[in-house]
Amino acid sequence: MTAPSHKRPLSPHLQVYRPQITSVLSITHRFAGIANFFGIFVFVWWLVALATGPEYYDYVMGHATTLWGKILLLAWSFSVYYHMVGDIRHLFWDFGKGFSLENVTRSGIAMVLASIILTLATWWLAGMGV
Amino acid sequence: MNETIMRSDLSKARGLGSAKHGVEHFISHRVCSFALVPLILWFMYSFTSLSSYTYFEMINWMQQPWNMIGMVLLVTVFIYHNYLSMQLVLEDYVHHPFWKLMSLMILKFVMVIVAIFGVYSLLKIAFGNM
Repeated sequence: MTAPSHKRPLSPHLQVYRPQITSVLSITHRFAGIANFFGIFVFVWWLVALATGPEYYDYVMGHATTLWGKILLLAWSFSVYYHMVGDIRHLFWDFGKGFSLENVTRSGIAMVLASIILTLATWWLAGMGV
Repeated sequence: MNETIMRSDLSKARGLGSAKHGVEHFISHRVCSFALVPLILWFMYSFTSLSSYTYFEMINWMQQPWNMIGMVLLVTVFIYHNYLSMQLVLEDYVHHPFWKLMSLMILKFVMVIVAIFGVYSLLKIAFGNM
């Protein structure tokens, strides 16, 4: 890098800002995407277990049904829903819709609520064995 | 002694610009998120009943043509979308040119391998002697 020829003010760094719903949802959207990256390995492991045979499948499901396994699956399903609903919000932005401050806050709250409801509904239905 | 520079400013700048693949990346990323919404909702809804299935009931469900097609689509589109996302994350945070290149290459290898594991397992379930 060559030294700047003029001393110009730098833009303030991210840390000086108070956390806001927009910035917090933005970074957690990215964190959820990264969590989904790790979830893929678990999901494909489950598919490999299915293709391998009943003994190995039972061994993998033995891990999945422990307390930690269930917590991870719950977290992963939430992270998938959260990122999915967040991406729908992003798709509207990509078409230039919903950019006003009021709409961004409203869709942000809706996004969090929708992902929580979808997660609870999934696990509730799964628990009922529908 | 003054060095005579034979290269024009234009020739020095050439090749340092965009890779010309940004638009393709952007659009593929969004088309995949659009396609993933029904695929994820379908899988999660199926999962609510699948969670109580035995191994052979699960295999039987997977072997139904529409379920198998949905699963192959889910695995490939999910992994491709996540690959594009993780590429963005690495490009944003890995600044060292060598490690940026290496991490992007490793990411590509890992994602292709995981996708092949997933699709191979599904095809084995579909066509193998289960």
